[in-house]
Amino acid sequence: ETWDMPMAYPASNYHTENAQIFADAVKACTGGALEITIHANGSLFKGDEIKRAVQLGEAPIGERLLSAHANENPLFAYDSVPFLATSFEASEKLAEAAAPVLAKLLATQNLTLLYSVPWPPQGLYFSKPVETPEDMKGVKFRAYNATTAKVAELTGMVPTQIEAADLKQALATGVVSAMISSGSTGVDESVWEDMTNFYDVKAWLPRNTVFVNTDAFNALSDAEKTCLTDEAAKAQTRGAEKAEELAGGFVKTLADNGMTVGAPSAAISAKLEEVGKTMTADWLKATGDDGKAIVDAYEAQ
Amino acid sequence: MTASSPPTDRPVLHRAADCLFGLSGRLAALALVAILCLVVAQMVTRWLGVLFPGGANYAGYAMATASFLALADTFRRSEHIRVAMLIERAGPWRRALEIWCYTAAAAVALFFAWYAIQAPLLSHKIHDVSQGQDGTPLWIPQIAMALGACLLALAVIEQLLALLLGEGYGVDAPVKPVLRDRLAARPLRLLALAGSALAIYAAVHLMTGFDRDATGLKIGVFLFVLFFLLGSGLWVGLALMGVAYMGMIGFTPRNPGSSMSITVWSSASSWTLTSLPLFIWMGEILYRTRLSEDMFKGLAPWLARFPGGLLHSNVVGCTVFAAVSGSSAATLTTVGKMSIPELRSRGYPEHMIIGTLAGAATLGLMIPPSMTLIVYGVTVQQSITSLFMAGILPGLVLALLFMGYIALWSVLRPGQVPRPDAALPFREKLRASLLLIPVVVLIVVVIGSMYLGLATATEAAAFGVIGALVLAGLQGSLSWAAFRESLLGATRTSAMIALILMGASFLTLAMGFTGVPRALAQVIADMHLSPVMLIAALTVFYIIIGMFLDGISAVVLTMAIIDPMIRAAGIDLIWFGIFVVVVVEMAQITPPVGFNLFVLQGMTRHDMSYIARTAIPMFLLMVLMVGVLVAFPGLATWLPGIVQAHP
Ligand code: NA
Ligand code: NA
Repeated sequence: ETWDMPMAYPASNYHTENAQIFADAVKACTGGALEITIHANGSLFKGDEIKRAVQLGEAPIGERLLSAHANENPLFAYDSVPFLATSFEASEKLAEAAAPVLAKLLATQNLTLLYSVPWPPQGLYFSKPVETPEDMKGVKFRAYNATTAKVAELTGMVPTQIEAADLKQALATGVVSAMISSGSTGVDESVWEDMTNFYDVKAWLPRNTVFVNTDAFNALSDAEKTCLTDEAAKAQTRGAEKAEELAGGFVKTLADNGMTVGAPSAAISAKLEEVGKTMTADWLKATGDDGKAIVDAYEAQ
Repeated sequence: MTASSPPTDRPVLHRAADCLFGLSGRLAALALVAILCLVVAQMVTRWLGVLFPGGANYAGYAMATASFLALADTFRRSEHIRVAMLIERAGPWRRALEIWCYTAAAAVALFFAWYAIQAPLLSHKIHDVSQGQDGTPLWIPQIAMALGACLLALAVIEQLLALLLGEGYGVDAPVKPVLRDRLAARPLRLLALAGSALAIYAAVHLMTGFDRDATGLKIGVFLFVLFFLLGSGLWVGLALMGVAYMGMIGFTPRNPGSSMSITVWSSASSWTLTSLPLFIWMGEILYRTRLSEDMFKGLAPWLARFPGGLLHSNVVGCTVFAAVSGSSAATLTTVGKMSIPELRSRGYPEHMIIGTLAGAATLGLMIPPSMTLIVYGVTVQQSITSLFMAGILPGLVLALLFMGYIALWSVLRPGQVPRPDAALPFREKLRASLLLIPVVVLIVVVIGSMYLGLATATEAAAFGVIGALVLAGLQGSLSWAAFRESLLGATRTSAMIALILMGASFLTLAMGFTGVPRALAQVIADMHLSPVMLIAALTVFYIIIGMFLDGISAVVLTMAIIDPMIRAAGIDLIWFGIFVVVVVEMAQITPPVGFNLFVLQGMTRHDMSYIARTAIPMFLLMVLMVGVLVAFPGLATWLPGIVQAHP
């Protein structure tokens, strides 16, 4: 059997490369019975279509930044609660704590959770040095979802909605002069052409999640299922290691291209910690018992 | 507009249907106004530092509503385009051929409508909500998709019934009266209907009947169906959907309809698409006021002395507008709306007007801003700013090549060049030039809004529409009737393009499932060619793929294999981006699937094969451009290099 696997990012992205290794391993361990064809870069379904496509069985397997679906259920944004888990180690723990709740939620949508791999931590990009919370006041901050809009609001910045297609020009012409994103995005978009400062605040580590249509999964033999889940576990470990290995490189590339890179000042850190507390509380309120279960399990580790 | 008003002696039921289509067309026009208002609101709130959550998403829904609700009205007025070559030569067999076209169209439209109805129901069932800040439950805006697709199916079936039972020949009435109707007898007509239905059933059956491994055979059937549907005169958007359906059932066990509704919805409701109808509207306003006429009066005294005269205004107009818009279709409609009537009235030969316009409009993709370069840059992770820089010189060189061709033509065919307007003394020339000011101001405003950071590349179109309205108002040359016509005309033109885009997005999905583009790219990868040979092979490859897919889809579908190949061959990725733009530009003007050909057909009512022939010299110039890029790679790499060296 051949499974088409739509993915949103280019073939050279480490998430896609990792999935390719996963696909090859699955083919090997099922003796060629299950072949996964990867369609990178949204060449089959686009990023925002992937979850629906897998849910409805139009693609048997796919990868998506699940936190983008927070409107549907705030639990999907467990990985994007600011300053809850701020390191690769913490992100793995959080993913582990969230897995049972997330799997249950996905199961109601005919989806089976396979694995998830983090992006490098989110840092703050500015067009000027920012030393105190005062410096952030009134700065136009790119907000692309409710979470980032809230970050802007709580730090006194002006949330400014810019779509991905317009981002580069918006940065170049100063429509926005601050954003929160991972080091890898900064490198992909050559952010140094338009911005000067990168503060590695490690706000959260968004995760790409790979899931499979439950009907398609159940149609597999037991041996094939075991093969798929075993390789998924390996892919998660491998992906996290790769992400950690690359993260430093991205930040170095930013510095090499002339950006001032560093940790935020104490005053900024304190402000961000306060923001994190508020937003964690908000998220817990929105998600109720399920959210609490995740945070409790995470903190118990 | 050649909007043929429907005959009045038709039965009540038909007139009721016409009313319904007209009403939905007017609602679509309101949705276009809503796009403008939403884009403006998005900008103004940003200037004020207020968040307008989900503004871009609402504009996307308005975009989808404008497209879908106008489908039936556009169909009824025969503004959806088709390859009419065969139809026009059918003579006494016209009715038989039209029965085939309407039967096939009805089959595709019913399939489309069925899944367009399923989409909101399914969205409601699985609680699918927007991923933007609006958080709208998606079933609400998707109702417009269901409604629009149903009305389109209704419009097609109504015409099919009239063909079977009445005297008319469908929405696209013959230019010359049909002297002898071979299918005057109703039983014969019903036989034609049954035969058409049987052919469709047989083709579907054939495609699913092969075993899994008969890939070559399936590709053969797939291509045959593509040529057959397009060639026999099925409307282009519906033909692409039909072909995509065949690809899906032949190559994957997935449900074609539900996959289609996902991709059609997201392509129709995309934020970046909203600039297209706005630019088209701007073109319609300029065309309906004195503004475009004035611009040509201003240009004429200066360009008259050039060999080739005012034809250069096509190239110059497209080059300038390319700096405003990132899309080829918007460049084509805006410039063409103004230049075609003016050039025709001055007696320039039709084939030169159409050909140079088809070619020059593709500059919209090369000269920044450019959607193609953004997609490419994100795909291969190269700086989009560098790519934009890289596009400037090759864009100008290509424009010069086009102008050189016009000059050469005028020297070789002096008999075809119309006599220039009487030469004016210098003072008079300057006075005439004053007429250029309004349009120059408009262009400066639109470009300026982007570079001053007032508007994003997508939003700049709103400045275009408002600017055009203000200028027309100041001149007092825009009546209420002209305003209304400009709005309705723009709605229908963008619905025409939107239907083709919907079909193309579904075809791209089907092509992705078939794996044909990837397999072909792999064949080239396995040849291990030298860099120059590789570029030559890729040029041929993209010309062939570009015949069947719009260029940027061809790039996205193959880049996973091409990207490592290019890196391994040591080819500069910025340079390759410009190469990609040239081949994507070629794909715009090669049949059977060429966007500029489609848009020009909609504008000029010429048959696509004629337009494609007029564009052949431009196509050859683009092939020459690839050679120029290979010989002088610095054209693409010099400017970005300078900018990077001095940040
Ligand atoms: Na452009
Ligand atoms: Na083409």
